[in-house]
Amino acid sequence: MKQIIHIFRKDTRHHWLEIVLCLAALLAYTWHEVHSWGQGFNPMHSSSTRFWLVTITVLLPLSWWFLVLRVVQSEPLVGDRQFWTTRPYEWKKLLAAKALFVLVYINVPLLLAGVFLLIKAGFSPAPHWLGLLWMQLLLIQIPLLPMVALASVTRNIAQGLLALLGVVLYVAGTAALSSVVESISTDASDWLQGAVLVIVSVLAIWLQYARRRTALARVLLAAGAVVIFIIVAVEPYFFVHTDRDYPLPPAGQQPFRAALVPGNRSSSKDAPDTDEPVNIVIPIQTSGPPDGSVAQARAVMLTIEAPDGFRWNSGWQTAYRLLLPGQNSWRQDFEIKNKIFERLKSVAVKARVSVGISVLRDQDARQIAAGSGEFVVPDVGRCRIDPKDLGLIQCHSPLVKPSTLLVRTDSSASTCPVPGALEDKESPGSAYDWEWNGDSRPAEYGIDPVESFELYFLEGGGPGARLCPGTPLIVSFPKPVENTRAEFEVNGFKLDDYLQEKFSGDVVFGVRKHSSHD
Amino acid sequence: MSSAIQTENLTKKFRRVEALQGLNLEVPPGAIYALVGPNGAGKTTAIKILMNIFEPTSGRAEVLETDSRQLRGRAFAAIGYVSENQEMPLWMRVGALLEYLRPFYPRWDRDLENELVKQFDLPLDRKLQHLSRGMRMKAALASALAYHPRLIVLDEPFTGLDPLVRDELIESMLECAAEATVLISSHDLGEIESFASHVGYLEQGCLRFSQEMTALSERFREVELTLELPAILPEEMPETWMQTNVSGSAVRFVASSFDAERTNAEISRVFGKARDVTFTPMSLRSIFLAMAKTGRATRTGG
Repeated sequence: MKQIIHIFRKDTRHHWLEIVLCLAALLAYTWHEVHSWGQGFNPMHSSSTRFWLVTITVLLPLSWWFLVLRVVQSEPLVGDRQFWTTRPYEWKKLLAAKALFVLVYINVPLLLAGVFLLIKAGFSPAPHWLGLLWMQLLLIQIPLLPMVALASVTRNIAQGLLALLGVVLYVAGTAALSSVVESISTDASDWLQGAVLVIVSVLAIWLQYARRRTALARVLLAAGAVVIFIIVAVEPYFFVHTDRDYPLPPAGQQPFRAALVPGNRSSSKDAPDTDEPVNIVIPIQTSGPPDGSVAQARAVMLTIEAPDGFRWNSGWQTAYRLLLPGQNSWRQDFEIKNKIFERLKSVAVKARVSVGISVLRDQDARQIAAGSGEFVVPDVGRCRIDPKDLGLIQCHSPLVKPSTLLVRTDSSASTCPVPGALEDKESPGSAYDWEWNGDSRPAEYGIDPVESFELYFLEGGGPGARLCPGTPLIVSFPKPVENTRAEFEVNGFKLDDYLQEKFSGDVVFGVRKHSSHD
Repeated sequence: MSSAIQTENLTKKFRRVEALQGLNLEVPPGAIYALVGPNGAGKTTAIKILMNIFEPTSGRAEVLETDSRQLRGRAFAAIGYVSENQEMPLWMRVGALLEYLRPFYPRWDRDLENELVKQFDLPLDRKLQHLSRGMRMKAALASALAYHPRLIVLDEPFTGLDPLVRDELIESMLECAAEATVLISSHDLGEIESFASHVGYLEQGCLRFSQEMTALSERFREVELTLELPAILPEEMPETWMQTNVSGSAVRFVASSFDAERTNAEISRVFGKARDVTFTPMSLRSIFLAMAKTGRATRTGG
């Protein structure tokens, strides 16, 4: 232990400037977080403000990278001329000293910043210690462990910067691949990618500290990166089992029925750009969920069969449509290659739409009244009505958003003064918004333990509800109980009739497109 | 007590280049062993294997009765290693370096440290990066001697140093060598000759010879002789003769396995009657040069 502390103290003395930079970046980040709460994403931010926000967010991990690089390279592991390799250093103690350094100057300040942010957001940190520690564990997994691994296989700052550039390009490439294969992120795939990253990082660190086998450690890290790339590429084929996850019930026992909404064809006949994929939009309606339940359409698939036997399938695509009684119509878009569209657009084909549906039992419902200023929503956190938009509630949750959350309000029960514009509203009804995080871990990945989210109250056929102090809200936490599938077929379907309208705007069918949450 | 250093068929390959070819080296305890040889002979490679900086491709090495591959951590508390191209923590001040290293060594001697600092005239408050090469080497040596190492390994420590600094380093090393074994690789043969007890000559990864300095001095002689008639260099000559040179009736060569009686007999067999035969003892530098030139000539077919 003496040797660990001895090396740690030497590193602290040597790297005090990097430590100060790191802490300054964390202070700037914390300050920025506190001031950004409640502002949400504001496209009206000036370019200099946006630049500053982006800079702070990028600066923090960069400052970690620089600190980790410098402290690991204090006793360089690459090359054969280091003075320390022929001194009585014990590799386990050297590694422990470096780990202690990272814990003390990165994790502990982050933990303290987390505690500060929780307190600042109105939460007591005491019940959330486990979650706070869990957040630090996640941050050790990514990015600190890979950072230490990369620092241990690089010789100096120049090599470290090159490695960083490589990582940025790799992440960009993987993200591009992920968007190309339209992969649906699954727990199994995420877990596997995380496991590969941790295993190769730990092995590379061990190889360097115990054996100083730089070439092997570098090959190992590169192999890990390739494996993760492959996992992302094959994710839709190996990890997503939508067919299995959303089984088709026997005929006559379907809890849900789905159908094409009649008479909702596109009026636009603008020819799509050549070579660009074409979006077709299909209006879908499903039957409502059983009493005491809500449901969510989570996956959709379109299959087309032409009279000449040609067959095209969109594959399962992610959807996030909440199904409530009377509010079960939505428009689902599918991307199709221009070549195929041109071939089929005027042909009467057979189209089959499959909808994967999760049924959730609506439970733990309770009624609360919206407060003036911040008000507590039990098991959620602290919320407030956006003074600029009375249809919007901004909420903060400690560490993790509720796994599922459904908040409803009856527009007729609004305590807001009725403005002239809404007096002509045809039928005030139930407005809602919901969150499906699906995450049962004690904390979400990130630096800020205060999870911010917004609930925007929409109604099926009209503008959003208006909330004022005293407006009753029904809060419930639906629990997933089963997955099922609904399908319908349409004969004589012409793709041209369902071409996406140009400049259709943000609002289609009275449902804001941003209503997807994950 | 067994050898301080012992290697058996030590081989090291860097891709296709064979830096060491079955090196069998033995450094007796208490010896000051000079490992000499031309550039690229494999001296540094051999030392780096001994210090477990490189792993041998085959063969084995023992350092202070420990397999070199197992040499790590505490084992280095008994070894003082200084190399000309070692990367020191240049950001450290000399005083901070010594202070930092102190707790690593149970046998660190503060008095000896102070003595070395004084002897080397080390500026404790100066950063290593601001020191001259010689001063940096002194700091490295002070930090490697202050804990009474049982084995001192110096890889080309005198390269590029002025004579004064060299003398200071040698003097300090010799003081410490009284209780240690020293392995030193160097081109500074003049200096080595003055203190080495053993010498090994490494060439192309092979140890050409390894013996005590006194025996080596006895073994090598520069031989000069005059013949009655202008000499013709015969095709067959004793293998132990090196750099045979004829100029008129004068013949000169280096006898690498000198024995007065036997060498005289060889001269008679090769040249017949000769007069004014002289046997001159050689300096280590002359021996090294003769060995190096002969080796180079053999390699180039000259």
